[in-house]
Amino acid sequence: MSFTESGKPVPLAEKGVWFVLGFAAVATSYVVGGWWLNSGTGVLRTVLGLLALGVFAALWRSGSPWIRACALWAGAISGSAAILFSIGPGTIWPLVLAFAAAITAGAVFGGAVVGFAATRFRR
Amino acid sequence: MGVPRKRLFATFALLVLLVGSAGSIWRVRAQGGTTARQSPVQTLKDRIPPPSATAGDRGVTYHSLERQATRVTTRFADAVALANRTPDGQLSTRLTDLAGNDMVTLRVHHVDAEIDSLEFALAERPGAPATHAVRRPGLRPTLDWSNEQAYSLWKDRDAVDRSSLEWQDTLMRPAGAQKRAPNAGALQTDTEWQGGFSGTVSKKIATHVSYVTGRQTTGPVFVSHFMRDGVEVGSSQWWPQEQTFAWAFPGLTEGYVDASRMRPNGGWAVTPDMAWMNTQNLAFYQFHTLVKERGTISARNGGWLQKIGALVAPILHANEPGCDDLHWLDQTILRPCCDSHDLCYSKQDPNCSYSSWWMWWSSWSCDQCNIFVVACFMTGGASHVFHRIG
Repeated sequence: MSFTESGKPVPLAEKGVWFVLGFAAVATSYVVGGWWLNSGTGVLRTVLGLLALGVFAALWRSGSPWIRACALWAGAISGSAAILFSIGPGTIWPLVLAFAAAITAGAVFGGAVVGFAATRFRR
Repeated sequence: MGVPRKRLFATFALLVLLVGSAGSIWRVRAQGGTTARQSPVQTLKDRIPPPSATAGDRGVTYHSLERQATRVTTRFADAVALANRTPDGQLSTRLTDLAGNDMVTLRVHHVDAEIDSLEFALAERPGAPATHAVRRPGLRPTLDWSNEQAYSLWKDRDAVDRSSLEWQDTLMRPAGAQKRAPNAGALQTDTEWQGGFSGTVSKKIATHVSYVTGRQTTGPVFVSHFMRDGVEVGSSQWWPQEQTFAWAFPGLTEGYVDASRMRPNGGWAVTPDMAWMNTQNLAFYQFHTLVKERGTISARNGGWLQKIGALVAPILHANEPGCDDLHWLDQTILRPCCDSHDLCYSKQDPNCSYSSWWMWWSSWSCDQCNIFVVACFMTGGASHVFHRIG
């Protein structure tokens, strides 16, 4: 199975778990050090967290890693948006969310690719 | 009266005297305690706002930075002035001709917070005693001022003896002397600070893409280079015809302010000159290095950024300075995009807000601000790139 193939469908409950994990990763970063896009340390912390989750999502044996990564990414974006609007969005909030989406995508899918490569190498 | 009676009388009299003098001492003390006038404390509803900056007094932050300078050298077409600051804060300037011959010496003796005593002597009059004067109220002597004053006295040397002196703006000049433009004649200013910092500003003619019109323009420019231990760490430019100040400190800060950006803040309070540029460069380096070392940059964290803002950047109403919620980009080339957007928002009446993004029909001018900032981000802030001049 290649990374882009859908493979087995992922149950809705499992998608929900990955979504919550993505949401929780961003929320945890906020609790630890404030809004994550306000400092380089925050960006690094969040990226590393999502990267690790992305690797984990690809190593999970059942279903498509792509769908799990998508659920994880959706959770991270939703978490970012929820936190941003709860603390009060700034005057460039669409750009902030665009940056959040791009960086979390890089982290999640980067991690998933690494994890997928690791499973292929293991076989 | 027998002897015992006399003794008794004398003892009694002595006692009366002692008691009387003690009583009078007590009365004097008591009177002093109740009637001495103590000055009353005047309470205020709020703090007194700081006075606006002038050519002679550029504000507390400026002068606290300027006091870190130990030596300033100002080169004129026909003279060189070298001002030194001693560890106890006294200033002394030696003005020489291009061959190094003494022409004027000027000293500033710091007396107290209100008073400085100025002392100068012209080398052309070797026997003449030095002239002493009191500095003008509202003038804070700096090393570059000391150089300019010494040069001005030399230029006025023929009239200095013949007429009394008067203050023309920040300079002591012969009474009735024809007005002279401030900082006229200075070609280059070199400043040295404690800690291995130094800066050089020189005047040039250069061509660049105007910050105001966006067209290629040739004109005078003051170019400064700021060094640490002899290695350049930043640079800035003042384009007097455009009233634009631009700077670049790689890894720390980059941007520009022009008259339109300064207008909401009351315009340029002080016309930038060579000494101001060097001091501003020191502020950029010191404050932004501090901000960088702290790891975050946000008005919510207070302090240094506000000081920087007070020095040069426009006050950005109802916003945080920099990129709101994207402060990790504050030290990148995208920062001017955010500041321009903040300024654009604040200019609108009614002001734009975050809801202007989805309520796009409410204000076309807010939409223009938003379109501009998106374009600025997508082009990597290309319209604000700092072009270094050698």
